[in-house]
Amino acid sequence: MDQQALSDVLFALVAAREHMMPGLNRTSLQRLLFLTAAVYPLTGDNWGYGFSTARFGPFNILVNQAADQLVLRGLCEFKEFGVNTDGNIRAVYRVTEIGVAQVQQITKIHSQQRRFEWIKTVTAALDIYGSSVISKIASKEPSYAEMRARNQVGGIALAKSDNRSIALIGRLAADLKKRFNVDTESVMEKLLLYFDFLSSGLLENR
Amino acid sequence: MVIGGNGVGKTTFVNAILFALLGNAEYDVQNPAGKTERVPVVPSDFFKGRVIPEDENDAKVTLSFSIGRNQIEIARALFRPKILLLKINGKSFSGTRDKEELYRRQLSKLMKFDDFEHFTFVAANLLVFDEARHTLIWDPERQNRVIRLLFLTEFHGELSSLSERVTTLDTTSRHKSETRKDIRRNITRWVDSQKDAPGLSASAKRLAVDLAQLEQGLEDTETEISSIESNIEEETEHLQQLLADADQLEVEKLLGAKELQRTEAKFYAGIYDALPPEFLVVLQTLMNQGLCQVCGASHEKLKELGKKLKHEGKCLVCRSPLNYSVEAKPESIGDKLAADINRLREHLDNLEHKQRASVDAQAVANFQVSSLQQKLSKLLKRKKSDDVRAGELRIQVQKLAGNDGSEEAWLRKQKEEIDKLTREIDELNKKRATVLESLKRVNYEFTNRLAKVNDNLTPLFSQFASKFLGVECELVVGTMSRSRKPISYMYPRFGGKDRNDISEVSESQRFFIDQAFRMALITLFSKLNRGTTTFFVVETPEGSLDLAYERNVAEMYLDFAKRGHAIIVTSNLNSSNFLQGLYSHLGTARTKQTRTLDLLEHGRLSDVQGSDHMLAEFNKRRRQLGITSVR
Repeated sequence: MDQQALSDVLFALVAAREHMMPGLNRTSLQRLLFLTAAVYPLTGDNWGYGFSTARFGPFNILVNQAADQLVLRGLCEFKEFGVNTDGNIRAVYRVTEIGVAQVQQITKIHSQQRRFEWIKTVTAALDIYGSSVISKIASKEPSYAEMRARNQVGGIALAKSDNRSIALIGRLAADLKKRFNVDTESVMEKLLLYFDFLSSGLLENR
Repeated sequence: MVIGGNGVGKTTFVNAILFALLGNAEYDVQNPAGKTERVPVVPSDFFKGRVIPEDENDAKVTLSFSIGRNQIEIARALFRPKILLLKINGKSFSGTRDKEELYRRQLSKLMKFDDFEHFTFVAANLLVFDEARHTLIWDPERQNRVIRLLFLTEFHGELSSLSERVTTLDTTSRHKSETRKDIRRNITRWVDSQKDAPGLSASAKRLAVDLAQLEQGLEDTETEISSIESNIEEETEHLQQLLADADQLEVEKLLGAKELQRTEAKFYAGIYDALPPEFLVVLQTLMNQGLCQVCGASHEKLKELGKKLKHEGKCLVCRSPLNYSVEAKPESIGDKLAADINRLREHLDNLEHKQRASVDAQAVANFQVSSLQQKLSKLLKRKKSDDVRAGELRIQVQKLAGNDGSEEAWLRKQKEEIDKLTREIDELNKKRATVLESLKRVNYEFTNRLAKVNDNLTPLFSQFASKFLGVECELVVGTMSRSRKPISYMYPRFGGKDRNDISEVSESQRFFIDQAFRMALITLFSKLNRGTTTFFVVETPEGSLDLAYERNVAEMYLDFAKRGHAIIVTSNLNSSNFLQGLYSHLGTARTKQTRTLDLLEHGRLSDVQGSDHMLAEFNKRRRQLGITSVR
């Protein structure tokens, strides 16, 4: 799965560039890819690797290491770099032209092209809310939120059969249809409905 | 090349060659009922109407050919079953009484066939593609036999004999069932006659009617039981085949997944496993200048360190072993790997789709078998109780009819006969089941050996067929059931799809795929037999071609001919690219001339063909092909 995580981070950085986002740090990469993975079953496929609950949010070790590996290979670069007082690295990444060219090469594989398109779609949807809202939305993801509420640690269930985000999207779409006779047929409509709901704070009030 | 026009004599010429070689020899084929029939290669009256009546007495054909180093010359009268001349290696057999018997024996011996009929079968079904357009590749029975005769002779006798025994047992069992039916009908007729017998009471008549109905019912039940048993057997075989196919799919999936993994690893290695450029810069500077680009330290000793690390192939940071190349990989490799990955993924998706379909099919087959077995169980129960009831009724009817005992004896005898036949039928069915098991066992071994033959055959087939189709193709081994007997055979796969039925390919595709298959068989046989060469006859192939494929077919024929075989092609003299393609590769004008039999020069032309205008057209066409006319 190493190479998939590397490719996903590269795809996310290219998508961010296309939406003129000011680069992504490790945390935003984790959250962006976590949300992308959470709604990926809408395409009919499984994401392939999981995320677990961690102190600062959903976490995958390979995603965490990927951006630095990409920097060493010249596929992305540090837009900002610093070292915190606790010794931890603080960095914002952006894709290089070589990285963009490699994405073109990788997306000659059809399954990777579909994956890249999905990351771009989710990035486009989240861009509507602004990059600062991504963290909030990620923390409201139903499976993750429930685990946190119960102080559970471990893998967050995102597979097709257990995915609460997909179940939530289904319920929201059905409700919208029933109450207001509004159809959510396209994937983008479903994503916006879902992100709207998560960012609205309605879940906190239940 | 045998060129001509319609009705000028191309088929007559080809059949004259076959007649010289084979005479009126016949070969065995199975008809749809499983019975063996004899079919002549050249019908005995073929030449009637094709030779002027005044010439019939003298009409003959002479053929010279070789088998290995043996030279044979044979002349036959076209209208009499007579060999006029027979010479083998210069020795004449003019005085010999039964020259035909001698000829067949000698040829079989020289060609190492056990029987002349075997050679006749191979010649008719493999070496000649005539205007009947019968395909070998989609005829499992004939194909199976050709392969046994050419490559797997050790199976030929045993499979044929077991297959015939199964058929014989089937036939005998069927005859006995018919006899039993007749006896039951006789009983029913007798019972019917008793209904109108004078002095018979109403209750006796009622019993007689019941008995008649029971006997008829028993007959129907026997027929239904037989049918269901046959269906169960077929469904069980079908299910076993599905399970075998499912296993095969799983193996293919595993192999496909492994190859995909390897290909992806290579692809991504080119992107993510390369050493960072900075590493090489740091190493080079360390080696050449003794300067560390990371911390700025500078010392002569650092040069030694750099050279040591380079020589040992270790990482500057953690000293782990490194394996890298400084040469850049061309982009085309990445493109090729990406294309391979896409192809492999599509292949795996297809396999998964097939697996899902297979699981569904297995569920259906299991359900079918289960339902049939339940039905059979009920029928057997009913038959048993009806049998007992019928016996009781016979006795009662007999008593009430008050006969003198002779008819009772007759009834008893009929019943005994029915019981005897039933036992014999059961016995025959048991024997049939045993022989069928042996046949299946031998066929299983045959199928495994056929798969090995296929390993050598598929590349040859692909070579010929891909010239025509323009895509890679392969042969797949399969097994089907005919008259409830297993037959293993090969069928083509191309475009990612199995084409195990003739309806799954277009008309032009089917004929040329079949010819590619035959060419592959001949080529493989040649390879396995010290490069022995043979002939291959194709009649008017251009008739089935569309424009896109004409040149491709010419390429296919030329490839085959280059291997030393004699390929005899008949064709109408027309403006097809096929002829143009063939002639453009035949060599010099002289070679073209010597390799062409122009039947428009020798045959009888119709009024249309003989008109000045058509003769001029023919000459124009000849010039385009590089041959000349003498008319």
